[in-house]
Amino acid sequence: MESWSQHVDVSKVLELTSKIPGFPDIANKLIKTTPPGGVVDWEIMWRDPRENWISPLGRVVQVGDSAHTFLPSSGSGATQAMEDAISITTCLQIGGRCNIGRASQIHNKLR
Amino acid sequence: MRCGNLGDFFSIGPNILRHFHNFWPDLAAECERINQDPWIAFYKITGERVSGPEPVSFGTINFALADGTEKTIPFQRHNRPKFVAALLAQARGAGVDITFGAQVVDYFENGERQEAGVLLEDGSRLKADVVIAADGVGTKSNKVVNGHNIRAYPSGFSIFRTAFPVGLAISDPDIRDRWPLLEGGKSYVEMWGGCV
Repeated sequence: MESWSQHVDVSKVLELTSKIPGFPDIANKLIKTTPPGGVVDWEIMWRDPRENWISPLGRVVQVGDSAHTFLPSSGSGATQAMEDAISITTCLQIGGRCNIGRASQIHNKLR
Repeated sequence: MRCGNLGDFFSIGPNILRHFHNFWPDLAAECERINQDPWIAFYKITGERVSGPEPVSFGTINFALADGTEKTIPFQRHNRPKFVAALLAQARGAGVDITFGAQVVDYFENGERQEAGVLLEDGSRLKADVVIAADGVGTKSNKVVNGHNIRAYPSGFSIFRTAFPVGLAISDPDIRDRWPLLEGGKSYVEMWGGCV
């Protein structure tokens, strides 16, 4: 599972860079300045794509990584999470308290 | 402020900032203030420069605010704790009550009672009309949303990530010389790419 508390030693990173042809020494020097415990080992996990992020009655709505995880390299995860937030709140605001289920369904469809 | 300091950096797209400018101007202003706004340079994995440093141009949008003012918004690059602090300040400013240290272990909804809620670690329950599960990849909401946990498969890959105070790096004069700030104290990002 992805985790901020799984760490890897800097020596492991340098072991990898030593296998890159032409990787410059100055970059290794930079890597060596990382403080102990400073390198997070973020495991990349696959999950099947999902189309549903709301509970059957629509009263529990997943947003952000709980709905759809992104690779850190995508540059999109935070933006998608914010879009989810804006979408569900807008749908709920338009639908009102009596239309929560429908508002959630529409949010889910749009996202 | 008890947000913690994990999580280095991420990008926020201009469409989000446009929404902030139109509906949450204080938050928009704070995002502009804390935005790292680095220039960008591309390098080969061998350290050979390909382009830049130059301003980030992709994704920039131009739009008109509600009062007609023209605004140009680039991609923003944010330090996670600072961005979270900005959101927290805005939420509090809007009168939202925030409680920390209340671990959610389960979610539920009830049609008859027209409510949903969360079960906390201490056994207590919080109820509401709607519950938003924003608890990330390890969310406890999959049982109520999908009826079962979502299986994750190891890909065999990892991303190694780090963020630490710059003083540690530039204590080495070679590093300080290789990566000076740009004119005016501007920071920039080097994207190194290549296949191994």
